Amino acid sequence: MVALISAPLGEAATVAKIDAEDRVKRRLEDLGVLAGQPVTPVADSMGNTVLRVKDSRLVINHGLAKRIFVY
Amino acid sequence: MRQAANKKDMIFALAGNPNSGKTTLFNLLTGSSAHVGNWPGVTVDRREGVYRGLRENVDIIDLPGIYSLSPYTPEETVSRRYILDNSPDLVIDIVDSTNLERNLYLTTQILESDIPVVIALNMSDITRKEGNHIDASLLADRFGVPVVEISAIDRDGVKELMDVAYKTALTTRAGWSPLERSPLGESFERVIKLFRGKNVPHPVFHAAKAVEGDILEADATAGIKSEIDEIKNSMRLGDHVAGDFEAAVADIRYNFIAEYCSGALRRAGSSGDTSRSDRIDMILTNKLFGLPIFFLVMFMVFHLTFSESLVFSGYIAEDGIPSPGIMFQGWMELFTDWLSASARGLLDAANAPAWLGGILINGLLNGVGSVLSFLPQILMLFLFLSILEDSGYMARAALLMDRPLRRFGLSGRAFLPMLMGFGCSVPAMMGSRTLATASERRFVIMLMPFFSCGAKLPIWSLFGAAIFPSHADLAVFGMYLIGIAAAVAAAIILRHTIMKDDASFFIMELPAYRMPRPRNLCMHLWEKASAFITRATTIIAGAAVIIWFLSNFDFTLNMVEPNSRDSIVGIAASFALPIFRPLGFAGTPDAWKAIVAIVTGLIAKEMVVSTLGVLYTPEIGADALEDEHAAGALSLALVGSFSHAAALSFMTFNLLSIPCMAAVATARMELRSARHMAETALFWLATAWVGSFVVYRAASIIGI
Repeated sequence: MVALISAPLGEAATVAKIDAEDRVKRRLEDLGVLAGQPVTPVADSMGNTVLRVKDSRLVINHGLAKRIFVY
Repeated sequence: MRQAANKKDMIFALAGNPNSGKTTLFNLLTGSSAHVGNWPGVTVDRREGVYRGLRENVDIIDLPGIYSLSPYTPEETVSRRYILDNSPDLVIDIVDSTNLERNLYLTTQILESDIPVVIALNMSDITRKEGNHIDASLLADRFGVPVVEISAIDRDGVKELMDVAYKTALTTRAGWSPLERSPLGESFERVIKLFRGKNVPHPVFHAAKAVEGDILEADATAGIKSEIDEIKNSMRLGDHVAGDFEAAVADIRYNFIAEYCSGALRRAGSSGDTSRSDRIDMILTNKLFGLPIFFLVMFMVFHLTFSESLVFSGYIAEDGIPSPGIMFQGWMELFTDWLSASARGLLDAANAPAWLGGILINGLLNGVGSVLSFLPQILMLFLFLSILEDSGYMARAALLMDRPLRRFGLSGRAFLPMLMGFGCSVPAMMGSRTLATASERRFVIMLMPFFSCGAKLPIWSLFGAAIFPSHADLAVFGMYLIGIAAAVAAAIILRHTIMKDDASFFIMELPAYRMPRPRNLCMHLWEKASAFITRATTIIAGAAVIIWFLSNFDFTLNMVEPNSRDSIVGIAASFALPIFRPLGFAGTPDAWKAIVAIVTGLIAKEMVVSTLGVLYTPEIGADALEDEHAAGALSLALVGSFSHAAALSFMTFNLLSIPCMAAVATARMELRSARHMAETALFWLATAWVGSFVVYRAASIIGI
């Protein structure tokens, strides 16, 4: 299990756990980022991580990418 | 016939994710009948219009773009309340077919209500172009509601959608949930039964939300709360969601979609391919090129809108070709001048009394005209802004600027509106609507005047040349710096006092890059232009007439010399002098003139220079100010009245105070609260006073 921020770019991963306050967790859930679901980190830009989640692209900042764990 | 007259129109609500093309479809369906209001109690746009393409007229309500019906944002709460409480005849669920699974997540929640639903698979043209295929009939089968493929942007399939929608609206539907087909299904049925027993509408919806532990369900669960909790305690959730019911339900929804619907999507290529958007992003959000490209784009937008010389033909504007923005502005001025001249001619021909000419031409037409002259540039800015938004680049700009702005409690999206503030506060405030939260919007609007707008430049030029002849450029540049310093200071203070929102996490969807469509751009522009013109002709016209009255009459209602010491404004200015005395420019006998200039500047900053001209050089008059000799006379008069420090203080006050009536009216509209607007105006005045005081003291101490 690694934090999303240090997961290799371009490789599909599965979310294991999100360590954030409820509001943030719900927002991520609605956008498809939750335990058990696949995400692919695709790029790193200006303090943010870009993720591919299903067919959409999401940007989250590094502060949050450190609190999402994947395997 | 009587029956038909009494029958209420059918209501269809549009629901869908942001960027699903919902607004495009809404504009297409309702055309000119659309109007924008706002939902009660929240700062969320409420668009409503009429579709006339069916046997009877149908009211169309555009619900805000949402990802879910959970209760975490005002947009979600508004949409949910509307669907449940107002029971529209039908919900058209717009699904972006290029992003099927994520969009269907909202669909699974809408389908839990008992309202008839039609799914519109939008952007079917792009899906097809990418070589993918969606089996609409299979989806319809799985979800139990009609599915119609459309392309709102190409106006494809919309008639068919509405025909199907009309037929479906006459039917009834019972809600269902993916939870029923999950391992939790049995317990979930027992929760549904409890709600059925209470006879509440939409039992399946409430049951699903009750399992999620939704905070808005307190009313619906009254009386059965303990039984629900008992059933929930007996539920066995998967290990990975670890007792988190909301995550468990979300997991069930996504698994349902993956299991039942991915069969409906046949992909041409392997899904690991980098798409076209990914390739563009490799350049536009690149660590090295991203920011330089962004600043180049911003420079071009401003250059095309505000530059006096489009081609780099020299520092002084005289010989350059003006930018389109300046050119259109010139034409607009010709038009308003012509309007004033014709009105003057008509009044003269009719032998109208002098006061009528004064109120109509000097008050109304000049006041409204000076504001309208900004319309071309405002529209230019909005054209560029719409292109950036529609193409998807705006989201990338937000990504690039997020980290630097986060320190001040703002998100990346706030950069663009603030930058636009250097052009004109009005479109900048209107542009703040793209911000995610109402408190960030308010934050940005409060900072707006500190970004020195185009109308303030003539003041800086006049004082720079008159008071600081050898350092005029430094004085002008200094005003921009003082403004930015004030914005930073205010941001830090606001951040720690009233705007304590936690902005530490940044989550945003990056929409795919799309070519903007002229039709859509025109729609956006028309919306902005009509809002601006409405304000110019109502609020601003009213203010202009009142100010004209105050500056042309005394308290006994006798007409006096315009803006003179005998006018109401002049008398009030003399009374207000003590307030301004600590700021350094209120000590001389002529000081009341500066105060009057400040007051007229609250209406429009262009009026500061013309008022100074009228008051300090009455023998020349404002019209002749363009003339070099006249400008020289005014400069001489100003040198006699303002010390260096006093001039800087006077400039600072104009920089930081209420920018103009148009900005106040816009702030009122964007804040949706008279109280917040009043607080904001007071905040501006207070900052202006404090800022000027600091500048005056500092300048006196350093001995500028």
